Amino acid sequence: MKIGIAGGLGILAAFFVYSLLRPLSITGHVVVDVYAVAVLVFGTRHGEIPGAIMGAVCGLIVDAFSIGVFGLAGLSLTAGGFLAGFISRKINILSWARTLLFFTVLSTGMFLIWAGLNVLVGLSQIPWSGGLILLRPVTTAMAAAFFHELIRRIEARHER
Amino acid sequence: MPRFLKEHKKSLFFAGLMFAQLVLLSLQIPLGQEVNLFERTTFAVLGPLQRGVQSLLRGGGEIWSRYIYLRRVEARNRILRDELFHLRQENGLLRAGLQRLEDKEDVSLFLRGLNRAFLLAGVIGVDAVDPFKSIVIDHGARQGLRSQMPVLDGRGRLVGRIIEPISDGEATVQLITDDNSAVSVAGRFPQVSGVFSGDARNGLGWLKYIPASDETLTETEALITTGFDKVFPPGLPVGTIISIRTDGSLFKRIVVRPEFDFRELAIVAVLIGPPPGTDAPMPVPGTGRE
Repeated sequence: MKIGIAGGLGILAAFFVYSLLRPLSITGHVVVDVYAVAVLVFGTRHGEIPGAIMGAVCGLIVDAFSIGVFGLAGLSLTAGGFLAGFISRKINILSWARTLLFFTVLSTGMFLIWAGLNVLVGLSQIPWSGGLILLRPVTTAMAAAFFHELIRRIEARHER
Repeated sequence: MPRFLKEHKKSLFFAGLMFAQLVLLSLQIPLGQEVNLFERTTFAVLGPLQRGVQSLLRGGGEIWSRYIYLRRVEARNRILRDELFHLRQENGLLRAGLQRLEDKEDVSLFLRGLNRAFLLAGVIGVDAVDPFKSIVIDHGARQGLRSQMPVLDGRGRLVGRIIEPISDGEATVQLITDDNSAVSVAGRFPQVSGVFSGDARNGLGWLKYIPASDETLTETEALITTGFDKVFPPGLPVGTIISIRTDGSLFKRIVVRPEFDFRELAIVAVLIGPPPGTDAPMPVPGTGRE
């Protein structure tokens, strides 16, 4: 129940940021994948199954609000959510630098899956936006690491 | 077997989810850009959520700009008052001019048509994958929006057309900068017409099918719709040519910058008047009201 509420809040937060980005920057969505940030943070904090479910739900949202191929975003986000939960239990990501590296590897993987499927399916093009999209894995990882650390600190303060 | 299931519960669940995603994808691929029932349902369910979030953000922004951040409001008001005065004068002169020029009955029909030609809609979201492909607006089937209706910005410049999915209160607009969009356009000389197609990678577009031998089109030339596509009415500003190249092929490579500005896309006008080619009078862009 608690995880479900946390997931719902995470999706709402991603929705908020996604809606906020539009007036701020046209290419904001291309540079930072806000849904991937939510999925990575949630998966890392709550485990592989909640992460995969969160990824599938976020994938549906992304696909519903895009005129690209329905189902493309879901695959990479589901895999990302699952792997975030699975791998974070096996390795040490307690320091900020390790968290950032972990998220960079995962978001790069998710980006590669998504871009690969885009090319494979061939029904829509990758939105290069003058090469800005190549920044996506790093900026997404930075945002995810920031929020992960922020939640961790808030929780630590709360426990004290 | 139950033990195996217990041991690999998580992996099996993940495999099931991935399989479901693959099924979704494989169902979509044969349909191409067509919208399936699942996508339509998801859009109908999530559309109101997006509208709610957008309303909340807009409300917050309005509180900020109306009650807190009032710097330069007086100066802006003065500018707007002057602008309104000039526009009213211009409007009155144009109406008077129209009535002098044409048959009275036609003119009154035309002017009446203006008032119901547009439906103003707020933009509540952009394409979640590529901002240059589509937007979501806060009007839908309930307000009479249908597929293929042209969409203009606040200054009457072409933005795109309504496409599926359309829910009760929300609709998707395919922008002219989408790769799969096509608009029949022409420059100064209507006999030289081509197809404007978007390039969602950078928000620009291409003017296609202009023969390499053509000498009439020039850089900085403005392009307007021709109406040949039977979707967009003729005379709407579409874009400006920014470069023309000939690379040995049959057609020129012409890059076009769209006229509409992505940053100004807060409110759009959906043209709900009669489609081009019908006998009813067509509205003048940018002058309609809901």
